[in-house]
Amino acid sequence: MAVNVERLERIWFEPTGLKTFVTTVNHKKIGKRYLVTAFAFFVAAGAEALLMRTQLARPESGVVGPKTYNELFSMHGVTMIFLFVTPMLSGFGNYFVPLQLGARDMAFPRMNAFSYWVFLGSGIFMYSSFLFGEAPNDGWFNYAPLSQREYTPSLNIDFYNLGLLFLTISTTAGAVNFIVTIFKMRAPGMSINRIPLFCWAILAQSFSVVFALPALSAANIFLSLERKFHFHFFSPGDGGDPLLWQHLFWIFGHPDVYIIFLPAIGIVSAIIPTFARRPMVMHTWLALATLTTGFIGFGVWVHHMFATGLPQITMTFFAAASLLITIPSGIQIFGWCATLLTGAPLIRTPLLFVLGFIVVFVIGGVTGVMFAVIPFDQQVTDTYFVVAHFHYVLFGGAVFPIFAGLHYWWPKLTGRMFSEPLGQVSFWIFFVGFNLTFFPMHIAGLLGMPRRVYTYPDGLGWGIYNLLETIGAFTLALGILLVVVNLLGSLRFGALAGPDPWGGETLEWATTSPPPEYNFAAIPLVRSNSPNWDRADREEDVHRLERNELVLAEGHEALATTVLDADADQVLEMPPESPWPFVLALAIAFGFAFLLVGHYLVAGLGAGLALAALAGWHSQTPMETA
Amino acid sequence: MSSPAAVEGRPAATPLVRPTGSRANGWWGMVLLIATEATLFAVLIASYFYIRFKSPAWPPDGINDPTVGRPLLNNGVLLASIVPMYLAERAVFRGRGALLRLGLLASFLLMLAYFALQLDSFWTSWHSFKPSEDTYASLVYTIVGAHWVHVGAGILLLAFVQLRAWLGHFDAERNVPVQVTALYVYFVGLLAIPVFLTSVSPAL
Repeated sequence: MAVNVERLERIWFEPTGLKTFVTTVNHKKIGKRYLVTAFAFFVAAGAEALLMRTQLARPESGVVGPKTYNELFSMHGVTMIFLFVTPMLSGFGNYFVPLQLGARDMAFPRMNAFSYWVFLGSGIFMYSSFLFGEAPNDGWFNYAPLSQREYTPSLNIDFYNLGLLFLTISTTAGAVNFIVTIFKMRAPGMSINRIPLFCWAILAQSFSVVFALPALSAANIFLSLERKFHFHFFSPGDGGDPLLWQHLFWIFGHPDVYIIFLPAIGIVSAIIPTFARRPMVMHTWLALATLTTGFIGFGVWVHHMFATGLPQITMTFFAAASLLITIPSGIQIFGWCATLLTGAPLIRTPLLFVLGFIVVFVIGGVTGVMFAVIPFDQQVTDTYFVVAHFHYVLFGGAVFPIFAGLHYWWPKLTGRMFSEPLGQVSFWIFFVGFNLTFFPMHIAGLLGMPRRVYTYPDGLGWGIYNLLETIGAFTLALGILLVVVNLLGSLRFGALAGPDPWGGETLEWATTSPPPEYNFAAIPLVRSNSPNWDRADREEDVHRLERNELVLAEGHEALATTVLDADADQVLEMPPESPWPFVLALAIAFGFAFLLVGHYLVAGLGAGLALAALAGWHSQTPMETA
Repeated sequence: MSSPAAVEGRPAATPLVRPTGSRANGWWGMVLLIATEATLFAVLIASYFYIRFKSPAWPPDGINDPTVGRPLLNNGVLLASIVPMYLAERAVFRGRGALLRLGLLASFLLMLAYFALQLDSFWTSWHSFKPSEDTYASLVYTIVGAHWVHVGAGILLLAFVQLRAWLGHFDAERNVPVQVTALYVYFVGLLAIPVFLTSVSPAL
């Protein structure tokens, strides 16, 4: 046994240092990077939000001017949606999908590293706009005609267009990687009905990415061609239509709501069985509901456009489709509640954040159903009621689960336990702060306060709600700060967590905290939905390690299995550390930077460099492993 | 996919199933890349018809109806590149290296021919109307241009795989790159059909 483990240690060893930092392809390192980087963007977007709330605390305040305010709300939205929530969930996915599947790594480890570097590059690309004082300023959905060259001639919008095209490469590559990993890299015996619900959610999200992002890319390509090369797509004077942007954007944008939301509910589904101490009620139904939500998400985009004067029949159809979403959402909510009610729930910080999520998300869901009623929607369109709704859905639906996941998986990530009392205190401050920030926005919106105004006159009755919101925002920030203090403090003061501090249901808890480079010494064999609760099976893993069965210590190896039944299929030789993902991302960044400033020949040189990097990538190892 | 050396040294207890090409990770990756690219083209073509159905005249006054004959020839050449690629893929499964190399070469040359013919067609239409003229022109150039770029990517892919085929990297067991390239060649070839039909639709 010891001999095999030693061999694995030697084969999978990565030295520390700058070289490994650039060349590593290990999914756990990449996952942690995603988490840290995305959290940094969360802090940036949070700072933007606090600035806005400071400005709006009083009527006629002058903390920031209208130009800066436009940039602040645009970048707040862009950052939260594209640079925080999605990559943060990718971070959890990167770290925990292979672990939950009992795999050694992702299906395409180098492409995984590449996705990270492109995400980092595009984030820096978009944030560098602040240095030039030309940050995107047309809101996160960047509507034409305001985003057209005639109305915003400076680079603000180009940072948005090109930055998102750049980021799309990362998101798409990541989604493909997740799908193939979940299809092909599962532990033997983890047939399709035994895939953990978190992985189902990542799978559904990845399919949404594959089919939704092209619409955003098309819109951004159109707008870039307009702005840079005088093409026409959105100007009625030249035969175009500004509504084309809205359609394309929301064909992407509504599925994107689920791209954000699905992995988050996957975290919820991972946490609930552990703390309810029983398997999930209706496991299969929840998996199917996850897929159905992703699918129906493609048929509801027009409900973002009810105020644009579309034909009645179109609006009726999309209103009905929007109501349909409540069915799979309802299945999930009832599944979670039934699991908690029939289990023996243990109230710990991760579960508190999950309970907070359920409360907040149901409120956001109810206001969402209100929007499907067209006359009501037209009444409150572009008011703070909408802002309240989507923060309940997105902050409630994504950030609460992200914080739940952070607490739940922190011991696995670091090997240390955070302080439970401080965790519970920080949750309550977080929860109260959140509701104090966003609940009064419903009222301000119903009173007629439009979104995206940088200030408002006194005497409209909005002042008190705005003041409450600002107090709430700083309370929320305090809650987040406490979470950070608690988690970082645990690195120094926390007790050792051991492999399985919560009695978790899935395989990530079957290995040490943090896991070794190769995740599992002997590839686990799975025989139920709750593999880590099958004590006999996990003891058998140890015996198999002694017998050298499924240890794969002959090389840098991982096991691929069949898509439906997860029968052992082939032994994969995994690629070693590689500089090429970084070089390729750098070449692409170079190209985009020169596209931005309009030096197209130099940008072409970037494309040439990218091709050279790709050739280097594929010459490095036999391509059969790619 | 394991190297033969690793297989020999493997303890008998380790289950090892001989890899089957259609199930390789790379194959799945390419299928998904094609799915997202095909969606991109679906969105581009949908945008074309969205604008078209709102326009009083299509093409607008001042631009002639597109010609059918020349694009038909160009896209026919591209479609033809699928056949030798298919033969090459079948050949590699049977370990017939010569036929593999020949098929890859023929497919490569046909795609190259399309690329050159299409460049010439671009040049001709550039003289009659520019993409900056109006939305019709912008859409036609964007859709046909996007397809052209994808064929360019296919040519580079074929060149790279071909090089490796001539170096003898592929046989009946090691052939995932050939399969993956074949998928992409089929995709850009079949894409010629909707792109062609869309671009000449005003003349039909």
